[in-house]
Amino acid sequence: MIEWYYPLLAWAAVLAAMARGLQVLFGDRGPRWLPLLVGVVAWIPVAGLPIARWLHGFNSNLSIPLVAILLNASLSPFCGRRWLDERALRAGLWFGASAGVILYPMAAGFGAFDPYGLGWHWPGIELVVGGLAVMLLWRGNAFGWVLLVTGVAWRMECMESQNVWDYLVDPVYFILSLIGLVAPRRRIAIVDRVSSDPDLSEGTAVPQP
Amino acid sequence: MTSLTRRTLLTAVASTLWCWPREDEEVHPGEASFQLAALPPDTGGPDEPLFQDRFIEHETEVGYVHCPSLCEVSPGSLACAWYAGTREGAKDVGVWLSDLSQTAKIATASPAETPSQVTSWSVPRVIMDRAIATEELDRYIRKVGNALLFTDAEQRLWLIYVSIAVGGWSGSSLNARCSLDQGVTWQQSHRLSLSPCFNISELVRAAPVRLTSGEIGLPIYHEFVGQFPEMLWLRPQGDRLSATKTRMAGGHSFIQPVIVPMGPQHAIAYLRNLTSARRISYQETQDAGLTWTSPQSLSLPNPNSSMAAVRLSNGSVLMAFNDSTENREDMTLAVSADGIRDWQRISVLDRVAKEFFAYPYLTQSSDGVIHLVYSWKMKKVRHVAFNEAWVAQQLSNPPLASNGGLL
Repeated sequence: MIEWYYPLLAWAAVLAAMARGLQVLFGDRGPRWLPLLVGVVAWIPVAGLPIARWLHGFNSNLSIPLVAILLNASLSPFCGRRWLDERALRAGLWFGASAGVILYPMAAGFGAFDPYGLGWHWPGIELVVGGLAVMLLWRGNAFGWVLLVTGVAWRMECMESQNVWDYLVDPVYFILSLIGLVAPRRRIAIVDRVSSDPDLSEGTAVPQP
Repeated sequence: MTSLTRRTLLTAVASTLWCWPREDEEVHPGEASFQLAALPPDTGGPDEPLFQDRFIEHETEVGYVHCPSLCEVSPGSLACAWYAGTREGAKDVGVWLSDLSQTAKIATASPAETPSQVTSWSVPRVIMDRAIATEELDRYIRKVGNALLFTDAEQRLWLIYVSIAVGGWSGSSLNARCSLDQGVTWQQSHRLSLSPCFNISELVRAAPVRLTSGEIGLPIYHEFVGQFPEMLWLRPQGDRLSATKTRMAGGHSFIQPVIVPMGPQHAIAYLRNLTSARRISYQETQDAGLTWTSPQSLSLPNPNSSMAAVRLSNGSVLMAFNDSTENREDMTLAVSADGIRDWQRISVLDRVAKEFFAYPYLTQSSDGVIHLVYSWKMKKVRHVAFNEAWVAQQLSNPPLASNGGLL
């Protein structure tokens, strides 16, 4: 039953991040808690169903790393600290882009091999991701935490999918990662502004481009 | 806690989470064999040729009737599901179901009896539409489409149906629903996650094959960016289906695979051809569906339309198809001894210019009667029932006119 609730969190993160993005776009106007409030809108029931569940019809598999990055962006100003620093976000972008490049072209029909099928019963993906998580955590990269949480979600079967790929990457995450890597200077500027609070002096320092 | 201890603990947790084997409930394709259809009981002599047909009709005429599928829910009882609405893809499209009981009577009906005296299909009823799907799946559903019925080894009746939230057919997702009382009542639907791209563009059309393990192999196809055939491997678990899939071919040329098991490990897949070749294509497997040969063409034409096929008791293959490279104005039956070469046309069931006869679906019930349903002029479902003796008779008397039963 936990998979019924995951979209509530995921779509709240999407709406909150969109609100935070608009805040930044308009010169950081509005209170810090505004993204949080907008995120809560996803839980308002309409015709007996939370808005997030209605939206779930359009995209049923928002990956855990994407949700983590969106939550970081939208909640950091409110909470006063950033969980994912520049280094972690860069790791996240590389992870999303790499996983997407491996997965999507072939899954869309380029060639006779379908890597998505490996996500059901081939332990290699779990070993690779587990190894990456260990490496990142050992080196103190916070994206290792994201992969650890993804592992928890995978164990708890938080999503309706039984395929590990759906926990790791989704098309939105893939496209955002590609954009972030192709245009790094703009990305750094956006990430810096979206997930930081101009009033806060503490927290993780973010290198300026 | 020191940094080293913290990192050690974290890495231990991460490696345990990711590397500890997960409880495995998925189907492992290739580990079971195809379950071939059981031969009908021997009656001690050659059967008399039998051919009957009838229509499954809505109480009030519906604008668009399409994509019927058929299933023997218990010995002697058939269920047929199709979708119908004002037009293809309309929001008012629903999946309809009708029952035909006591099909055993078909085999023993005397020529004097008309089909309506033997038995008839029940009044169709809606078993799925966008409102039901929205409620059961707890998400936005804009419309429903292709649907398929089959039973599992426990005699549970399953409905696999397409739902769409946005876009056309390429926005399709597959859902499953189970009935424990042969379609009278249904359990709640659940979504099958089968695609990494928004879980869309997976469709179903043709009959499933049973595996000796009790699992189901269901041919499906993908339509977004690429168009290609796939095998869906299903394991019933209570009122839910656990699903995995494997690819039959890549690219964007073939959809709607029809699987005909020829042996425990050998099967032929017939494919709707989207290319300019305009021929039915086929693939073969020698490892129970795990891997398939590259698609090749049969001699039979294909106007970019769906076909159906079934293996007869003598090992030959019977196919229902549109015998044209241009249109769907006919519904024809043909037989091949090996399922690949030397197709012989045995009957033209319908042929009317400017009309549509489409999406045939074949199954052989436990009494040996072969049942064919197809969309008739997109207004009704036509049900044709015949036996292998009739097929043999037709082989020796090639068709001279339309309406195969009256040849």
